[in-house]
This record gives sequence, structure tokens and C-alpha cells, in this order.
Amino acid sequence: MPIPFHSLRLLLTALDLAHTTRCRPGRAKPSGLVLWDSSSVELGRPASSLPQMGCSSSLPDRNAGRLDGLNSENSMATDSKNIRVKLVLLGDSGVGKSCIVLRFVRGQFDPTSKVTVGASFLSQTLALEDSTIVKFEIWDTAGQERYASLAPLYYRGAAVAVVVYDITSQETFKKAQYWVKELQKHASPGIIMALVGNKGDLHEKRAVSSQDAMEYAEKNGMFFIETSAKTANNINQLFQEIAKRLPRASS
Amino acid sequence: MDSDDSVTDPEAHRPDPSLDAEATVEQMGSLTLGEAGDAAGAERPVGNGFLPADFCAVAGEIEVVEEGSPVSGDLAGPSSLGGPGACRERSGRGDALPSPSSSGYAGERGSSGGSSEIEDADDRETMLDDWSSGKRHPDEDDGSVSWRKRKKHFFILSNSGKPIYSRYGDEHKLAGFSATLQAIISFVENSGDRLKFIRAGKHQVVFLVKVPIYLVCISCTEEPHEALKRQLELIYGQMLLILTKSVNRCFEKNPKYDMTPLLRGTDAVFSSLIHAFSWNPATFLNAYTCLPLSYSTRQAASAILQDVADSGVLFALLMCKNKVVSLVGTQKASLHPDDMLLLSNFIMSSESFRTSESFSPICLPRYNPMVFLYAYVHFLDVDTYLTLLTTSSDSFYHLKDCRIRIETVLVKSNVLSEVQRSMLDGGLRVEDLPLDSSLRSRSLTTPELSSSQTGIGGPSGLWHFMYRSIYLDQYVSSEFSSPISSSSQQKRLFRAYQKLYASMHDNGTGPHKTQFRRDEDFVLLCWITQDFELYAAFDPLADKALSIKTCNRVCQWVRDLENEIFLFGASPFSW
Repeated sequence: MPIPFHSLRLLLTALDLAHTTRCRPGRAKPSGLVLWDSSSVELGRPASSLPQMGCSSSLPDRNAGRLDGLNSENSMATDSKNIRVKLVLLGDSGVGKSCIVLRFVRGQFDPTSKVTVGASFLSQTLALEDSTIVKFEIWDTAGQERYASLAPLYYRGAAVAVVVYDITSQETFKKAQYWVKELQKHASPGIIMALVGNKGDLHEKRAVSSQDAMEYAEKNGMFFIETSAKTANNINQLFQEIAKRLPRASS
Repeated sequence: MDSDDSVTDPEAHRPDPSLDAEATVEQMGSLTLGEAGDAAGAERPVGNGFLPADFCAVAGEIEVVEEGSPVSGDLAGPSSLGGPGACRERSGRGDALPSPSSSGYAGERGSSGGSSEIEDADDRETMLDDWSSGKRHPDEDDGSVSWRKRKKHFFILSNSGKPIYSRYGDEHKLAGFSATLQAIISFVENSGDRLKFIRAGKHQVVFLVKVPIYLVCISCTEEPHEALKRQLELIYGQMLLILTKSVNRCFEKNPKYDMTPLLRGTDAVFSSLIHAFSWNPATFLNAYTCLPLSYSTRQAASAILQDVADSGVLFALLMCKNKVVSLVGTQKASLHPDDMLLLSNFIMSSESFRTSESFSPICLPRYNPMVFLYAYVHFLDVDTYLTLLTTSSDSFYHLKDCRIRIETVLVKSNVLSEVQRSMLDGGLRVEDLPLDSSLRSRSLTTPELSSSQTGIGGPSGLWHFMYRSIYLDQYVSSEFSSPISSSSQQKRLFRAYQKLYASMHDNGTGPHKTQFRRDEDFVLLCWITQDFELYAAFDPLADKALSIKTCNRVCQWVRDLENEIFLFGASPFSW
């Protein structure tokens, strides 16, 4: 489905107008992965000195410091076994992005559709077998067209992008491909991308074959998984797979 | 008959305003509407300005059509306003050819029996808060009988006639109907004129032109057209809140641009706003209301919000449902009551805000319709939410920190529990209006105001009031007392207030100072001074002199309680 770029651009222009200071691309650090490091904890930094990429966790020194400054457990969270990672979910509206997140974070599934506005922020920690603890900071973005122009706000500096489509809708699969292309162009290099076919419980209505999706994912260096937020099938596996692929801090 | 009930009260500008009961009764005596239930008079629209012309378009070419006159083929005829889209027979058969003489929109003639069912259903749904689930009846279109019987339609369309939003039915199926509305508007515009509204029997069609957007309301609710126009303005504002005015540029490049995808998923927002048009006084009073709290509690909330605002937050707003707990803005920035109404409607009607903290672009149309601000929204409990607005798209983590700080302080200082308690306790009750001794002695000698009657309402038959402080842009309204406990009675009172407001602010005949009006449902009393506007409803049998005295006491009571029911110290409103 072609996206009417002119309209998105215009909305983006409005956004830009709202900025008091514009972001220069050069200032964004490419790495989205944040390792908690005691040397990076800086308390009491004035808010006005927040970097442009405040919406991301791409700048470990300040963001980590600020957050840790408010959490008393920060001292124990400074070893290299703790990984904090920014993850963004993208995809057409109604494919179940919020449902995946809520299933993962709260173990809940709410069949009534709740349209996400802008983006919701949730976090969840996952302990791996090698005793690494991964804290996901998840940006669950709205799928509506009017928010498409705002996506960079949320995926800038992300270490992981989860692109979701609905296996019962070819259209959402096309939209997913649009997001993959957009991420390849504009996201941090080295971003880990996952292609997720959701609503696996509705396989009798399947419109996108696993084979096609798998081939597409392989071609684009993504890993592919089919999930069902409703039955919780593969939801934890999705995040465990992501966690396994995260680069580890060298000693 | 029409400039019936409004009198100028020369006393109103005294430094300590109080209505002089005797003098005002004298003045009002000759001006009061038929007291013994003059039904015809009471049911007339209050708007004094628009008679004798029912159809008040300024266009010279459009003929004035009186209610009930024969249907004409002219564009302005009461029944042809729908043109091809609406000129179908009531049987609702498919694509009938445009037929100027067919019965008109929603066929108000000779169908009262048949139409009542759906109109009742319409009401019932409103009461059941069905609006929250998004669009109602998406399968309908202008060919459906049920669609045409809806009491109140709202449409947004582009000036090329493309549908953008419809309260009922699928926008895309309403393309023909939209094109017809566009044709009517542009027909008048082409003659260098502007269409304000059309009256057609019971129906009013009200237009609002915000090039390249047109907004239309078709209603048979007997609300004054000024009120409907204001509702269209709010709907337009709600659209801007979601998209900003820069959406206009889409139409500059492509006049045929289809805007519906940009508003996808916002049906619940508009439904809830339209629902507010029949219960929330803020939709016509141009004011917001505060949750009653002790002065120190509100001060505690304001102090922590101020702290945060000083760190680069444009506005910090703590609200409980539609009521403000505290509001703080940076210097010189002020939040318009309309923006607060639209913002709180947007937040409360979007379920996703309740799930987790959010960071979303929103536009405050009265603050700056061209740009997005960024709103950090977090629900502290089921009804209480904190909104932090900033101009910087990168402030999420900062605002998150601010919220954590605010929440900690609010919990520690018991503000949150006080807020919950106040929600449970409710607002001012007319039963609690302090008695003054002179009135008590008098009411003892007045048989119809014996204690058995004051048991169902406040003193002297006071049922309800709303007090709007002009300088603060805030209003306070009492809880509904037992005589108006049912939702249909409350809606009737709401509509009566709405009419009262419109007639008091009518540019043609106003502004007025006082109005006393009696019909079979209520005695309504309105009193406007430089400082406040008071709207009060009494038992229909209430004594006029006592009502006026009671209004004075309500004003005194509100002044005595002002520290608890109003928010002071919010930056001065200067726009």
C-alpha cells in the first residue's frame, strides 16, 4: 500500500516547527545498546543539557545516569551482565503490537482493541541462562498513518526493531516491508531487526505464508518468528531470541 | 413575546453585587414568560435574534422558508437540503433519483409514530455511555432509515466535498451526501456570501467554514444554533489537536486529498466529545472546573507542579476526569479552557493512555494551531492523570523523571488520597446551602416551601446552579439534587442552561444582566455581572422573590468557598 508521503512530510514539518532546537544527524550516536557502567552514572545533571536523542537510550552517560539516579538499585546494576536495550515495535495498525508487548510485560491479553496514541513506553527485564539480565525499554508505536512521520522519534537510537504484521493480511505484510526499508535507510546501523507474523492462532485465515515471510526475512538479515499474543505462543521466545542476539560487552 | 425575559439590572455593577429581590421582581413581573405553564412560549427557542426568519442565511438569493411551508424545489427549501443524497423517500429505498419534492431529510413529517423508536434508542445509547466504544452504526449510510432518523449528525468534509468524518455511518458511503453539503455551501459562497444555518421544520443545519475544511451539524434537538456552531468549533479544534492545521497543506497540493486515513482510530475521541455536548457545561461555558479540595492540598499539588514547570515543562496539568486538580504553566504561557477540554477529552477517550505511560504529539489549537507539542501522559490512578506538555520531542526521559518526582510527592503528601476522597464526596450540594435567618423566618410563613419540600432539593426550591467566575475562567456547578436525578431530567436541564446561555449572550439583543424564566420543568434564573455568571434552576413553583434571595446566598456561599472550589495562581489568562 503506497504511503502518501506528502501528507506525512507535512506533519513532520509541523513537528519540526515545534522543536526549539533542531537535531543534527551527526550528533546521534549510532549505538543503541547501553551497558550499565558505574563510570557513566552522573547525577544531578540539569535537564536542559539533555541530548537531542533524549527519546532514545543512545547516550548511556546521561540517560543511564538520570534513570539510575532515581532508582536505588542502580549500584547493583553496574556490572556487564546487565544490559539495557531500547526496542521499538513498528507495523500497521491493528496487527497486535500492543498485544505482543502487554503479553510479554504483563502476561495479559485484552481482546478489545485499544488504539495506541503516539507511543507507549513499557519496560521488562529478562534473565537469560548465562545469567545475563536484559532490561528491555520498549516503545510501542501507534500504527496509524498520521504517526508514521513520527516513527523516527521512537526508532532513533533503538538497538532492536520488531516489525510486526498480521498473518491474515497481505496488506500488513507489505506495510512491514515498508518499515524494514525505512529502518534500513534511517535507523542505527547494526540495529537488530525481527520480523514477526502475529495472530498465529488465526492460521485458518492465513494470507501470508510462513515461507514467503521467512525468505523475506533472510534476504534482509532479519530473524523471523510467528507469534500469537492471544495464546502467548512464541512471545517469550521472540524476546529471548532478541536477547541472545544482542552484542555482549567485552569483559 | 420574544424579547420576553431579559431585563437590564442597573444594580448589577455595584461593588458588592447582590440582586435586590424586591426591585428585580418588580422589573421582572411584566417580563416573565407565561407562568402557568405557557407551553408554547416555553418551547420556543430562546434565541431572540432569529425570528421571524427561520432561515437565517445571509444570502439574498435564498428564499426564507417558514416552518411548515410547502416544500419548494429551491435549494433552500426545508426538505431539499440534502439534494441527491438526502432526497430519498422515507422508505429508504436505494438510489432514488433526486426529487425536489420528495420528503426531506429524516422525514419529520407524518412520521412521529414510526420514528420514536430509533430516537429513543439514540437516547438510551447515550445514557449507557456507548460512545466510548468508538463509532456507532458504521454500517449505516444516508440511504438507511435509521441513519436519517438520528437526532444529531456531525460531518467534517473537505471543500472539494470529500467526507472526512461522520458521527454515524461509514464516511466513504457518505460521499454523495458530502458532495451535496459541499454544493450547498459553495453555491452560497460563489455569490460572495456565507451560509450560517438553515432551518427546516424541526431541523437545523449549521455550517462552519474553515477553509479547506467544512463542518456541518444537522440536528433536531432544538439547541440554539449558536450552541451548535460552538460545538462545530470544538470538533474542529479536536481535529486540530490530533493533526494540527498543517494538514491544510495536503489540500493545497491535492484538493481531492482523502483525509479519512489520517483520522483513523479516533472515532472514540469524537464520539466522546459529542457526548460531552449533552452533559459537560465546559462545552458552552468557555470555562473549566476544578475538583473541590482543601486549599492546602491544592497548594501542595501546585507546588510540585511548579517545581517541574520551572525545569522546562511548558504546562503541567493534573486532572481527575474532567476536573482540574492543579495546573501550572511557564511564564506567560496560558492554557485556554477549550484546549483543556479537548486535551482531557482526547486523553480520557483514548484507552491506550491508561495502559502505560505515553509520549505523544498533540496540538493545542488555541495555543498554537500550527505546531505539535509533546504530551507525556500517565494515569496515577483510574481517574487521575498527569499531563506534562513540552515543545521538545526529546524530553521523554526528563518528563518521566518529573512524573516520578511528582507522583512521589503527591502520594507522600496524601494529595492523591484527598483527590480520591473528593471524587467520592462529590461537589457542592444545594442542600448544604447555608440558611440565613431572615430567609428561614420567611420560609416558615410560606406554605409551599415547608420542610417537606426542601427535603427534595435546596432551600426555596433550589435544584441546581452553575457559577462561572469570569476572571478565573472557571466554573463550579452543584451536584444534581434528587428532583433531577434521572439522566433525562439532567439532559433537559443541560439543554435549558444552554438556551439560557445563548439568549444571555445573544449579540443581537444582548448582552443581558438578568433573566427569570419559568416553564413546566424549571424556574431558571440567570444573573451576569462583571465578575461572574450565575445560572440557577428551581422548582417550577418556586417563589420569585425567594429565588432571587437564594441566588444571592449561592453567590455568597461560592465566595466563601472559593479557595476550595477554584484554582488560584494559575498564570493569568491573557489572550
